[in-house]
Amino acid sequence: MWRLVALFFALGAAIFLGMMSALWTTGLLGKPGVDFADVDVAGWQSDWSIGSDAAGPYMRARIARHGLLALTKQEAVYFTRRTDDDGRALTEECTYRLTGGRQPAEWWSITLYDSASRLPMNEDNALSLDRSQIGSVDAWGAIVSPIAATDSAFWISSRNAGEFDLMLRLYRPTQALLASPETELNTPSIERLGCQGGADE
Amino acid sequence: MNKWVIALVMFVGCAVIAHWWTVRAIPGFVMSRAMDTMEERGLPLHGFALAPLATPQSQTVVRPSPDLSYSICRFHIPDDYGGLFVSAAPFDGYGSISFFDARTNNFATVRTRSDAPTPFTIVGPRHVDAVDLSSDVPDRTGLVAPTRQGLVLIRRLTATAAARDRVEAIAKDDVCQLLPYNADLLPS
Repeated sequence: MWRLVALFFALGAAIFLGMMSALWTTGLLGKPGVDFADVDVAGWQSDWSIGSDAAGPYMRARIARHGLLALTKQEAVYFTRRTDDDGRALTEECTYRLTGGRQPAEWWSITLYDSASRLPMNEDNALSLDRSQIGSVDAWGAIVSPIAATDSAFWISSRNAGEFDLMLRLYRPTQALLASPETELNTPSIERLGCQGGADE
Repeated sequence: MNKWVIALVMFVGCAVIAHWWTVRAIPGFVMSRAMDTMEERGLPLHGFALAPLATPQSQTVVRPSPDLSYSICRFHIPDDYGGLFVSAAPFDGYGSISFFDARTNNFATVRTRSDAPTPFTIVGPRHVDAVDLSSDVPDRTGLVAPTRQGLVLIRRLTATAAARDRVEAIAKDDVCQLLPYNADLLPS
């Protein structure tokens, strides 16, 4: 009898362990933010198999959790960045200057998401920046902070975001970008300007 | 062989099987939950609904873009129906119509037209063998849905209030409806 109980207990523990490890490796449990690795250009990470049959089971699970209804690379590519130019995690306790230039796509946008891949719960109406706001200028800049910027035309609010990431969407990317993202992507830089409450340390 | 070694191998084997099964089940599970949420929020089956502009308060899926409008049609093609007819109203800005199966695969995406509707016939997986998709019906594109359930999503760029007004005016002309099984309606 005890052997049978022990067998069922061991079986249940094995199944539990297997399921929990699956949830952890795919980002559904305890692993914040999306985790791409296929393409990495100066910290902006993506995966060209997003949305396609070519995506492996782990990538498909991660996308389902962090980018449901994503398009294939021919229509759109998605780059995510979770750190500033010095490799420190992005957090609402700090203010950043985001600068960039023209992008190799018909239309692009940069949107801020919290660690649960949600738009942060605020009513600032400053969740993203896109090409139609910027126009056709060669260089642009924006402030990412929890308080409205006074010295910049463009502001992305990080209020109530905690640790966050920025997602660069490129719709109708050029073939050159798909072939050689390392040389074609005009990577926006993220400079940390300062932090509240000693978070600068 | 030592019985403890056998027990350890069985334990690891069960854990690996559970791990693999869970990883493969996640996309379908997440998609099912998303569709349930959409249903709870009133999105109809076999009909397009223009979702409210994505805000922190209205988001129903992860990572919505606040610069795009989303017209969504949930579909579930019964065995006794041939498929689905889908058409996107013309829009004079960036727009795309994309198709997702119940496992989250984006099985087709096409740019919407600005001068005329963009029509499709989607054939349910049950009728795949009966349909020749090598040629399309002249005025529409034929697609095979890998699963009976899924979503059709029309994205339109609405970064400005004027663009949003234009989308609200034309989105009512988007069409998503079941087709009875009739060879004349299917791509041949």
